[in-house]
Amino acid sequence: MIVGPTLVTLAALPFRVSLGLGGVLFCMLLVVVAVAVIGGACPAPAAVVLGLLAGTFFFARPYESLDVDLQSDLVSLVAFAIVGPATGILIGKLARLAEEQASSGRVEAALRRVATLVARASPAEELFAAVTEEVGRLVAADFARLARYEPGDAVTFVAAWSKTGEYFPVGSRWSLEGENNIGVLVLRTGRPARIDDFAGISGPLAADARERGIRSAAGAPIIVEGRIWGVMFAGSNLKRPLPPDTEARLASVTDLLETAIANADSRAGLTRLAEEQAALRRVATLVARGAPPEEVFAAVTEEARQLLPVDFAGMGRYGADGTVLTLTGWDQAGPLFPSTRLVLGGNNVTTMVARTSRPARLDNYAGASGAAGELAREAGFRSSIGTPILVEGRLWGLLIGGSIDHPLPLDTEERLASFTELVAMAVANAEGRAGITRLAQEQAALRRVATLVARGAPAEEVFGAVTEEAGQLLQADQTTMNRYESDDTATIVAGWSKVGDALPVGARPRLGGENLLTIISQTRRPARIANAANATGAAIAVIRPTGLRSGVGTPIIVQDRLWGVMIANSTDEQPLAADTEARLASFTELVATAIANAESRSALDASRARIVAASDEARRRIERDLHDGAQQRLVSLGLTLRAAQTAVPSKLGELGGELANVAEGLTHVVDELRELASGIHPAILAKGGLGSALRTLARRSTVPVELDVQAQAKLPEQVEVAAYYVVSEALTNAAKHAQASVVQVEVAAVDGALRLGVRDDGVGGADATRGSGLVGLKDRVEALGGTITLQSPPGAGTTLRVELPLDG
Amino acid sequence: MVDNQGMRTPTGMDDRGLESRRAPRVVLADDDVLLREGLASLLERSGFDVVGQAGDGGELLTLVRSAKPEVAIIDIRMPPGQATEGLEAARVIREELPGVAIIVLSAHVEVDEAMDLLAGGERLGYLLKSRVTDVAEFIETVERITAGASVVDPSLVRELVRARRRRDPLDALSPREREVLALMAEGASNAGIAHRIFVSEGTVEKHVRSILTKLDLPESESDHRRVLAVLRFLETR
Repeated sequence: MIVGPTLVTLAALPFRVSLGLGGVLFCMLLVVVAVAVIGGACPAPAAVVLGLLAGTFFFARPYESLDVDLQSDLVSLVAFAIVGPATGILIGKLARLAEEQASSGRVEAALRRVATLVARASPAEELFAAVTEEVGRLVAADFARLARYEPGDAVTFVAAWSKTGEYFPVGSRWSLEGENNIGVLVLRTGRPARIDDFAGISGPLAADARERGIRSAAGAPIIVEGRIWGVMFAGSNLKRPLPPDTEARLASVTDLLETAIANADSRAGLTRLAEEQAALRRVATLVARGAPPEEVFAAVTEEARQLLPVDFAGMGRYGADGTVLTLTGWDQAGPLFPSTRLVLGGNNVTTMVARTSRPARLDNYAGASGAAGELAREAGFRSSIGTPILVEGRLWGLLIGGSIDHPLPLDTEERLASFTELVAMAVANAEGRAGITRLAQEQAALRRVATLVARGAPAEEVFGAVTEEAGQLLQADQTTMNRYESDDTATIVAGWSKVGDALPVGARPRLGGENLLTIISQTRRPARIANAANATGAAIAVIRPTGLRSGVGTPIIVQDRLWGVMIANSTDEQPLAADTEARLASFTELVATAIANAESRSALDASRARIVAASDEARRRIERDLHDGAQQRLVSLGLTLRAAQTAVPSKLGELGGELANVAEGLTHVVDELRELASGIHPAILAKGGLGSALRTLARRSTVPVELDVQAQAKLPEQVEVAAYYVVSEALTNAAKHAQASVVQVEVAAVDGALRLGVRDDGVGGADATRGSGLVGLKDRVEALGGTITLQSPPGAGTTLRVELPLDG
Repeated sequence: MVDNQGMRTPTGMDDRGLESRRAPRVVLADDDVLLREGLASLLERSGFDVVGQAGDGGELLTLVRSAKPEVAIIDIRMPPGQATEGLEAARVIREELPGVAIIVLSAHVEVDEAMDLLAGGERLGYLLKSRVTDVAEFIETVERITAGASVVDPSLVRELVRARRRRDPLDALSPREREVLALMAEGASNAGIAHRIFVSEGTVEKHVRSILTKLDLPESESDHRRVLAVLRFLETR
């Protein structure tokens, strides 16, 4: 402003005589107008004063003096003094008005463009980028950026512009902690803020700004729905701070932006919600359809990867042994390190989730450690999050999302969590199905055993079946069944081994020490040993060499009496499942029933055998008494009669004849008595053995008999008696009912049993249930633990087969 | 006849015949005293000299060894076992004193026992105990045995002959031949058979030859061997 009049003065000096004061002042007036146009109304009066002084001093005679010729120059000077300021102020005001109008036109144009973008519902990224550029241009800044506040004192830059096109990482997240930059000021006050000099500002953002040569900056809050959403920055490289109206201008744009963001947010929210719902619905459909868990996992990780701002999504399953098994992992290229077994530990997301059962995040993998951490670092992750999959309250696994170049938004955990719930449901479903399958298997195994028990299978067979069924069902490596003996030992009565090892069945370890056999013998309750290494005593010595680590045992209680114990052992480091005792018990209950049945059956057999033996003994005694007593006495009487007969005088011949008749009658009685006695008990068995007795039967049969006896001389008496009666009854039946022409009788002692077959070629149709003869035979045979079968189809003869054990 | 003693021996009870020579010395063994005494008096009356009575096998052996009788009549069932002690004693006597005729009495007769006993040689008899009440026949049998014949109880033979077989070789025999066969099995000589069925001895011989041919049996040197052969045939046919 001062230069203007000076320059005019210097330029006009050579022409001061010709121009005259009036002309010079006119030039001065032009200068004042120029000053007013450029500098506004305020500097114009100053320029007038300078012009007046310069005119008086240089151009009004006498020259070089402030004295003036009032007559000739006063009018000019006064006119200039009046017109100059007036013109200056007027022109200045007009110029200011024009400038303001131009500026507001630019702002309006900018706002209009922004509004158009907003109205067009452009994608948020595009809108933010456009608005930021407009802001930069509007406030004539070098940089403009738009950042969104994140929970936890951080900002994420959503758009950036620079006059020179310099790169700034959009999407990067910056912590505000410990800073006092504009972001902090705006956030704290909720009002625009400025920094005119970055020299004293701390923190990474400020450092970054300094590096980029930013010297001053201003920011205005973006308030969406009453809360601070973000901040619009503008920065300048100029030494001169940004104009004071910068904040106002920023604010004028951010007002528009607020609306746009509110709209976009709700629209994006809706879209995202819809996408998320669709993805969740797809996964839920899979879950509901009962798809295999693997398929669900793959779908979940893929959906999560597509839906969330992650470069990688994966799912891990925690093992009970301190490792995590990564089931699936996806990035853009497809599956990524499937089914990798990683040991937990170190600083990484999988370990954090395992420890806390809560979502975890790691934004900087520089500090990651442990197997999972290294794997993620190798894959190039910068940030990752993990959310736990909780199945029925227990930590089952986790979902992981990873990003390569930017920290993941803070709501990612929450969004990932909605997927983990579906996964948990799929797992629970699958486990439920597995549980049902397991239950069905258990029922089937129990039914098989129960069938055996009901069929009255031999106890050994039941024991063998039970140990095997229980072993397989409980996924044990070995099962044994022991019977407690009266001498503080316990015999191994059956055993099963997964790998087919021979078990020391029949071994009889002594009780004592710390082992299941001994514990259960004392408590009569189920027990378990978690670590076989700590077990002691003879009972454990029998099984320890096979490498067993843990075991569960359940008592076998037969009619309130501790009969024995069933034990399931495992070589696995993991102890047997917690419900093993209960499941084992359902088997031991069946075993107890089988034993009770077998015991009552053998008691019945024994009682039946005793009855048969007693009856045989009675018959033998009667037979003997008849022979040695009545028969003998009758013979004696006969002799006496004969003696008397000889003593009768010949004249009493009639009496002699009578006596002779009586004696003969006695002989007949003796013969009849003999037949009767041999019918009561085959005395010949005791004398000549079974072969001799059967030959006698055969001779006396009215139907021809073909007899084949392949048996040692002497068999157990009860067996011989039973065989004798079987053949006797069969021959009687053949003669009475069968109309047979021949009967074949075969007797052979083989494999510890006497096998007996009686076959006729008669009319058949015999019924074992009719006629007490066969029923009596059945009782007799079964009392000896034998079997008897009758085949008698009509018209095809009758076959009776009997098998009698020789050892019993 | 088969045997020279048999020729001289009367087939019926003949007091004069017995008187003409020394009475046969008999030893009795039976644990039933009443029956034993009855039998003894019967034998005494019938011209036998009962030289001793025993109540069990041991006593019998002692008695036989000291008295050396011609005949021993033994109950098969005696103390201590009441089983076949009589048979055992008979076996020992036959071994030590083969000349002693032995008659085993039993409450019931068994083929195996008969064969077992008769395998010991001649002068053996195996009879039902009740036979003693038919005094005449019993005495006659004792005499025949003492004279060298072997005798098997008719009831046993009857059972053997009656036994039914599917393809019975006996079917080839005439009823008369069957009768003769049964008597052969009982131990009767040809003369004895002739006497029993009221035919001539020559006719009996003809029947016997026919039977032996039909049944494919060898001619026997003695009645005893003939009994064994016929019994074995009947048992195993």
